[in-house]
Order: sequence, then structure tokens, then C-alpha cells
Amino acid sequence: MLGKKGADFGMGLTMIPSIIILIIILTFYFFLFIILGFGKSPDLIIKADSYSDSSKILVLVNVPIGESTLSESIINNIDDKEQLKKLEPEINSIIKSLPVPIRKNAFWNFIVSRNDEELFSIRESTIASSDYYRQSINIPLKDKSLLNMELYLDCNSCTEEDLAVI
Amino acid sequence: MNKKADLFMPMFVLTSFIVLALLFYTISSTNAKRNDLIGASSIALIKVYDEGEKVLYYIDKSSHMSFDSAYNRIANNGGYYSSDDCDQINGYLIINHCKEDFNPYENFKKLFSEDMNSYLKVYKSSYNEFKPEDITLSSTFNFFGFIPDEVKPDDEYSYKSLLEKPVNNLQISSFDFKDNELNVLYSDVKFHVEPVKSSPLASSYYTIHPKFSVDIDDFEIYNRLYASIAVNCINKNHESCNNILVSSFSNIEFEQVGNIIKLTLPLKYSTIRMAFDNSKPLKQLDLFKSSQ
Repeated sequence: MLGKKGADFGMGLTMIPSIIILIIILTFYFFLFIILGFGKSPDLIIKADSYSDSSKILVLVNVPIGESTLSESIINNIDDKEQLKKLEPEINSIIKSLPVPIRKNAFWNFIVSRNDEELFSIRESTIASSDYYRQSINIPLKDKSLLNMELYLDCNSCTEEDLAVI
Repeated sequence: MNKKADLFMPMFVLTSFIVLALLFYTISSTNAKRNDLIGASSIALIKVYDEGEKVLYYIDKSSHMSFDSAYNRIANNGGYYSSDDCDQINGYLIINHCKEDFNPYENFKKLFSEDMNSYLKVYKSSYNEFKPEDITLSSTFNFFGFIPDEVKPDDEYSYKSLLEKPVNNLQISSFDFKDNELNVLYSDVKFHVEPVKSSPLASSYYTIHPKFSVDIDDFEIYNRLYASIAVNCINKNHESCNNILVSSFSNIEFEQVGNIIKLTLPLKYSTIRMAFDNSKPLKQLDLFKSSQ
């Protein structure tokens, strides 16, 4: 209960509850604007990981392997799993030559599938990693089905700056 | 303490709350209307260019397979579209017995177009549509009505579907055969650039001009062979027929089974196979001209 002294300092009955409510309000907006960064709108500038173009897969399908290209090598041996397996070391070395963020656990993954059935893949990933630069291409096959080749970067704790250099 | 002093603090708190709430509302509604995503337009252009490259690659591969299929079928059918209307001997079409017209170039074009259309009809785009990251707490703001609901079109009218349709409906504009090279021109394919901002869909587009070129043997050789058989072999001595054909067509091979003569003529890019009955006339003897 406030006595004469309190009243002298201008602290009426409403003073303490008002200050508590003010602190709650300020804390709420501080959390909203400063901690969550609500007012900053970070998406104004497009991020590197949103840059989902297909330049790498377009180059990859035309990389020469022997007398044909990578896509032709796969298509020519599409029904021969043994032959596809023989292509793996060569395709793996091509995939490994793609640039990755420096000093990060980052790997390019390459998956070939037909009618959602995986035929061939080169995968490498780490725990709690994320996918970036996912890109794919559809190639026609003689039986009028589509062969899908997909490429993406699997990276653990990659930052905007790490990805921007690729 | 007087009443005015007593009211000061609650009024101050209330005013602070109203001011901050207005600020919060202004920012949330401004963010919802924002359309200046820096870099998005450039990326949309690069992506539609990539889509064009993928479509060109698809058309090129489809054209190659359609060409191989049609060209070899015409060669194996002795220039005819189908083996259904002809009698056969060991897989060789007996050309005297064929009901349809002898027109290898037109038959090739028909076969190529049919096969090509079946590839184009199944084309599916692998375009990754633009997905901007959610504004912080956007789902909460959306729930309370600060941000309007996003309306997504049905799959049939999605942007990806708009990219597929011109390819699915692509037409062959022209066939041009010159100097042993076949050029197939397709109709232009027009892709709308993905509207990542609030711009309307038709505001900009990218057009590609698909074309396919391949070296082939001259179709005229079919007509010359047909004419030579008609003039020198039908109801003629087998030996003289052989001699004339051998002198006119290098590497030609014969096999006689009764009145039926099977011919195999290896060319640079294909091998013509046909058979004829030398006791029966050939159809359309007047068709000894190139149909190109």
C-alpha cells in the first residue's frame, strides 16, 4: 500500500501495474523486431540458395565419356545394370570435379531415374545437411518414357557466402 | 496525489501499445505487398533460358530417335510406309503387291512426324518454380488476417504446365532436303518468363527456334531403283536385270526365290531391302520422279 511518501514521488495506485505492463509490451516488441528481425525483411535480396538454375545439369549431360556423352552412355546401357555399374567410376570422377564450398562437408549428388524408379545414383551426405541448387532434366527414351537426371548439392552448415562462390 | 498524475502512467502505456501496434501493422502490410525482390527477375530470365536449353536438348534427342526409327523403317520397307498392306518374303516387302503408293520421301516424313509427336506429347518440364522464403511469422500473420491468403492455380494452369503445353503441341514447320542433308524446322516455342514479382504473366517471354539437321542418303535412289526394276526387270530376263542393276547400284545384292527377287542395297546411312515379283507389273510406273 502506498503511503504519503509514495504519493509524493508520483507513484499512484496504477504506477506499478502500468510499469509491469509497459515492460511486457516492450519485451514483446523487442522480441518481435530485434530478435526475430520482423522489420528487416531479409528476403528483399534473393539468396544464393534460391538460385535454382540448371546450368550444371545442362553441362553434365553433354560431358564426353569415350565417344559419346554422359547422357548417351547412360541411355545406351539403360537396361543393363552391369554396364551402368561399370560407368560409375567415370561418372563419379566427373561429379567430384564439380566445385563445392571450401572447407565444408559438401558433396554433389547425382540420381538417374525412370518412371520414379531409381536406376543409378552417386550419393554422399552428412548428418543434418541441407540440399542446395537442386536441378534436373528429362530426356526421352525409345519406349517414350522419360529418363530423369537430377543433381543437387548436399552441404552441412553452408552459409550464404559459402554457396555464393560456387 | 491528484487524479491527472494518477492517469499519466496508464495513458503512457496505452499510447505506447497503440503506437507499436500501428508500427507492427504498417510493417506487416508493407511486407505483404512488397514486390521489389532484388535479383529475382534476373534469375527468372536465366531459368527460362535454361528451360529453353532443356527443351532444345529434348527436341534434338527426340528428333534423332524419330529419324533413326523412320529412316530405317523406310529402308527396311523398301520405301513404303507400312508392311501391313504388302506381301512379304523373309521380311522383305514384295513391292508389286503393295496397295499404297510408292512415295518414300512422303512416307518418311509421315513416319518421322508421327514418332516425333509421340515424343513431344509425353514431354514433362523439370522447371523448379520460384519459392520465396516465408516472411518471419508470416503464417501467424496470415492466420490473424494481416497477410492475405496465397491463391495457387490448379496444376493444369500452373506455370510449369504453361511451359509444357507449347512443347506438347509443337508442330513441324518444314522438311528441307538439300545436298544429302535433311533439315527439319519446328514452329517457334514461346516461354513466358516466370512472374516472380507482381508483374503479369505475359509481360515478357523467351522464344526458341528448334531445328534438326542430319546427313542422309538421297531419297532419289529409291525412285531410281524402282524405275530401274520396272523398266529392266519386270517380265525381263533375270540375268540382264541383274547386270543392269549391278552396274547402276554399287554393292547391290540379289537372292532369287522362284519369281521373287530379293534386293539388298547398302547405302552410306542405311540399307534398302525390298523384293519384287518379276512376272507381275509394278504399280504407278509414271512415278519415276523425285518427290522432293
